[in-house]
Amino acid sequence: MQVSRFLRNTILIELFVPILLLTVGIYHGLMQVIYRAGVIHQSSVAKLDYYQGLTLHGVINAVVLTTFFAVAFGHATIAFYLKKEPNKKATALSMWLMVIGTLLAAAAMLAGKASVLYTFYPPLKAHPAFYIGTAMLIIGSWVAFFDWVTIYLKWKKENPETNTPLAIIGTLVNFTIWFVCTTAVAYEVLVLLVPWSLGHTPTVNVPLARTLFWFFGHALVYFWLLPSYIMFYTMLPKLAGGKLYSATAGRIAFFIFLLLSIPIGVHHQFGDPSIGRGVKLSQSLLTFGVALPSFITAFTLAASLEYAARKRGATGLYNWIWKLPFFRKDVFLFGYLINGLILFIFGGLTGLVLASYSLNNVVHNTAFIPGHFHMTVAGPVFLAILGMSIFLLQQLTGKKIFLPTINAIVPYLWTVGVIIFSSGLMWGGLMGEPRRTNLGLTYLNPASDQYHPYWVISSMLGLAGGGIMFVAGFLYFISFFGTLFSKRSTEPLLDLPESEPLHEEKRIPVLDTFKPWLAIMALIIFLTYLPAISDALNNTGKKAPPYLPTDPTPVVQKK
Amino acid sequence: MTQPDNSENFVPRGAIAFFAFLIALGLIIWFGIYFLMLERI
Amino acid sequence: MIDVFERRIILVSILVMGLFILAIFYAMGARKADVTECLPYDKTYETARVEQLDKTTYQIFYVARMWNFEPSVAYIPVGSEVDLFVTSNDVVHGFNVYNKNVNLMAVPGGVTKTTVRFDQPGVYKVVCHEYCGTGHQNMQAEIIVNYPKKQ
Repeated sequence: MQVSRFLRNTILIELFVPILLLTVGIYHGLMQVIYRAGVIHQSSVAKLDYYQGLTLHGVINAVVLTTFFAVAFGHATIAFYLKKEPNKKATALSMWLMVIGTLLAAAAMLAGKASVLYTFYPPLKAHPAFYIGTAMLIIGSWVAFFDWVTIYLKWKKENPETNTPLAIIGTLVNFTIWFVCTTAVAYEVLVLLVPWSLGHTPTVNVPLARTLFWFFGHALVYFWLLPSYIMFYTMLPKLAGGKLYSATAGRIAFFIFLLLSIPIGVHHQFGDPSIGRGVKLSQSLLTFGVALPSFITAFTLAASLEYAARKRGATGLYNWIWKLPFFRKDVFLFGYLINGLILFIFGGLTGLVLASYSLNNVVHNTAFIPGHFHMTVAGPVFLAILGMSIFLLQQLTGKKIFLPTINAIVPYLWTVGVIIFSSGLMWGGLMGEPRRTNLGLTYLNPASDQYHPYWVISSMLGLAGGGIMFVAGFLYFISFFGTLFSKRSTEPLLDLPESEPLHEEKRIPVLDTFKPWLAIMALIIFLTYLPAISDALNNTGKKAPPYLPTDPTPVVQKK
Repeated sequence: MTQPDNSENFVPRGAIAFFAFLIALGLIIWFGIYFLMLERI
Repeated sequence: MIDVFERRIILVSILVMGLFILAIFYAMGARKADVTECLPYDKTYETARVEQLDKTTYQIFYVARMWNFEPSVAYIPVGSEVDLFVTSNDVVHGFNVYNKNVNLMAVPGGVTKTTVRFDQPGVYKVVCHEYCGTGHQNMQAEIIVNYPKKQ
């Protein structure tokens, strides 16, 4: 279909800004593994400190890139499936809020005034611009969402008996989760942290701030993941040359995500004080519930791909896999999506370990954690974002992909890198190697009395894998920016691959409405988080003043 | 069993095999860490 | 309404996760593998100390601060059961004992507690595994499980 010049340009800016910043994010990813493997024994390189780089890596890759992409992809999905373009004013306002917010936060981080990592745990204090910038980015994404809701309601009024397209269900479920979970972090940032970082309030309740953060923090990972799920269900079967085995399964999966993405955040706080064991255990059990849609998805996608392969004449119980269109330049998006899924097999299963209550004690906060989440967020999430970004770029500009062969092998190279990297980190984690630590200064510095030789091989594996990931990222940038700066060869258009269902499926009214699901969602969140927040308020003995990361004495409040 | 052109008779044998592999892998990873935990008590 | 194979897949997934949950309950009941105990905070946790309750039972009260743990070295006889209490004086820190299931957060205003047995002699390294500022990578302590006794 044709889209207006305005929408085209908005989507392109929302893809361009984060990918440009991603160059900084990926550079710091490479630096991370170099410091950690003990190749260099210093606290900073090129005037950028290790922890400053880690903050840039986390905020850019995990928050800026994912949020911008979710909004850009949401615009494309809404326009493509509902045949209505979003409101111009709302779309422009949303884009500017996100861009300006990102620039504010980036300035604070680059100036070294916000080296508090992307979880910004108080009482470490960042510059107010960091908090305000992040809040603007989030609020910008809300504006786009509110506009889509009005479009959807109008569409539903006109088409009450038509089954809402699966991609639209996915997009709306995703942004509903996002809106609900970000209210908690917006409260944390705007009500607790900004006045405190400005010196208007002297202290902050740290367990409460952490609980509010993780109310948001785990739902955040589903906000990253659901755009990929939309692509897996609505595009992957088509790209493979087949049909979607069960669209109903997709709807069920999305609605389970809606119910259970938020009331499980405490599983990140198994090691925290103040929160009772009952709260932790119940949220651990609910996390098993949210693993269910991923098991369903694994099977549905495998069946859809198997159907595609059989249509191409495949036989046998396993050999059908080789009939799928791997390494094909014309369906490069297939390569990005399938590699993400391969990584997600391991990322998902290790995630199940982490959510399993006492099992978390074995690896909590060790390098196992980044080992795990690089197979989720740097797996299905990141690869789908890269693949879809260059796909949309090529369509919306009407240009040909620059070096298409390189673009087609990027996801494979990346996946090899992640597997080596994550194996190293997870192995190190099982031996107690801490995450978020400049190991090269002490634990992996033979000159230090804290030298810890057990972690040499594991961190070297991290370096090898990280190096391959960096090369893959670099090749992607060549392809992406090469495409962007090449000459237009065809008319711009928006044409998303659309999978048909394999079987005729009847419209099930309860899977085509949001109201009952929203009510159950609210009830579960209320029942799980009321005790968590009341524990954090009641068991906490004192509040904390702000600290700068460089100074063991609290920041003196000027009054 | 596999009649590629007739979607009504399509039985996802390969996908079932894949799912069995996935579950087996899940059990190995999960219980691997579980017994490591019991060992470290 | 939903495909028969999908239904079976859902059932199998639920059964497998049920098995995981049973295993977690077994470890909790029979082997006392649990997450940190939730205790209300009071001022006494801010004093770092080692206390001996009886011949083989000890309590260590750790205070984390930028960028060390107190007590930085603790001596414990082989075969003792030790209650570890951890809090922080300033920012959030982590507390990980090498080769043990001890993985606690040290949070200002809160206290975490776990119990661990040391049956093997050796030097157990304690590492801070939560980012706590520019000196984070220097922050460690030791629990020395010695044989014979030495205090």
